[in-house]
Amino acid sequence: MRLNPFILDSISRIAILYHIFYEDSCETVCQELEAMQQYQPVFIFNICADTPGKKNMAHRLKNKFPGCFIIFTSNTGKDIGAKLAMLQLLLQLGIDPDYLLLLHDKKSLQALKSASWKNDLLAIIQPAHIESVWQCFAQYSNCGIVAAKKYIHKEPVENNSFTGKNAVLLKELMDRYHIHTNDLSFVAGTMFWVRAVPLLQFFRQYNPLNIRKDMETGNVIDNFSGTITHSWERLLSWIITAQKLHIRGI
Amino acid sequence: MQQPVQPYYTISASFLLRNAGNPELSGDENIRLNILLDIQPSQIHGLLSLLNTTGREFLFSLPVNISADTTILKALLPACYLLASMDLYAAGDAPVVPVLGEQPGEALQTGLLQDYFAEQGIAAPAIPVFHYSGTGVQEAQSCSFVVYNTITPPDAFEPIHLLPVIIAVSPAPADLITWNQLAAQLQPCIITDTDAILSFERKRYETEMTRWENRALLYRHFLQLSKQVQEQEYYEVIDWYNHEYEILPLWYKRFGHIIKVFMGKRSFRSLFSDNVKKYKD
Repeated sequence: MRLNPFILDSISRIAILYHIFYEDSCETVCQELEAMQQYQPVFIFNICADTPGKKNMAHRLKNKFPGCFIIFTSNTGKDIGAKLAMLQLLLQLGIDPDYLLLLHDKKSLQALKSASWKNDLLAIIQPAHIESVWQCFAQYSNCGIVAAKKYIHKEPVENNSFTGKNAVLLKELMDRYHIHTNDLSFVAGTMFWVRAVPLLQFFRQYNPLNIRKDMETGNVIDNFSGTITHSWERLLSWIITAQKLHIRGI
Repeated sequence: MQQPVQPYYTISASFLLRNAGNPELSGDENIRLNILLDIQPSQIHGLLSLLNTTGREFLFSLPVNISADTTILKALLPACYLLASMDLYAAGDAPVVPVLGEQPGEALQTGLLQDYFAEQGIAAPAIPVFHYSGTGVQEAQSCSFVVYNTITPPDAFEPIHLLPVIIAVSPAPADLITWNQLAAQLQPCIITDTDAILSFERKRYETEMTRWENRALLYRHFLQLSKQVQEQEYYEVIDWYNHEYEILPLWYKRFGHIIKVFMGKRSFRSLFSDNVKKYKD
């Protein structure tokens, strides 16, 4: 599907940040991103250092996406930590894209809905929906994030205090990084389109690698207790909503 | 047993940046680079982009003056980490970051680099220290360093038997054509130490095996975890049911069943017998 030239004109540069954890993801990733190549984005991949066969994977990605950047990082902060490392690379590269697309090879094997979760989240790069994404950004100047509607969640609050498992950490991190917002919507699963300027503005102030170093290592989940990693899953959205921008679902 | 090794040829980052756009840079992709990071933090973006376009494998090293200057080194640390993360030789495991000085005994700040890498999940980067004034093959932390100059011809050294092998030419060639010619002339290095080759190959094999074993353990962990998570979700649903429905008075629930019959959601006969199908499929 080709973009409406009017809409395409307004898109000067896209950066796609994709984290790969699983050893069998490479071909799927190549297929998923095939349709995105027509927009000539900057591709940045992070492959988990623990992933077997990572060097072959890197060669395959280099062949498929010439000029892509690939880094290998430890399993710190899961896909969120990886995205922070890629954001640091983006900043170091001095690239100023207009839009960022954050993705990862989500499987969530522990979850009942694991099979459909990723597919639903990936609606945002399906050729049938991609024009809706551009329209959201073009039509609504206060649209900061576009994501799959089904996974735009709201963090529970009671009497101005968080009540979820990450409550204590969220309060602490919001104070530390001066993120203040009344719109507590976030994209569960951390796959979304985001306006680059407000996000990168924040990370120019707070070095992403300094944030990443405090995150948990390994495959942490927040089903039983709060984690810094999952708190940042929310904060990545709130960095945007704190700047009076909104999340729109498709 | 002899095995050719592709060494890393030392080239300064400032020299690379001066030659950005030079077609000679994308010459022989087999010639791997050891990039001496002699630039300011503000120039890093140019280097990262350049390295990506050359398509050559690389590692990077620090000149002693930068590794001794805490202020510059601190500013360079994120870039150092990213360069190490882009390094295919280490591929995120244990990068080698040599420090290159002119003379032995120069002041170093390797602790800062080690601590930063540790914070980012790289437990033990190898930081061998080598000197341009040294003669013969210098060895440190499973890494070799050789300086070629006009006095020592390319075949003047003993076979090299540790990996990775880093080569520097002193004085450094003034232009890229000469640099490429020298790099081509000096390769390949020959490793003749059978034990060293076997040990290196075994280590690589064992590392990959360990990754696969860890993956198997990870999937087992996911299985255990999914049981825990699903059990938790089951109890949450039961809890929800108890609070939302079970708590209602019996007469109210019975009245609800009659309403279901009127709405066609339940069969009339099932109100009087448990042996009748209640719902439509």
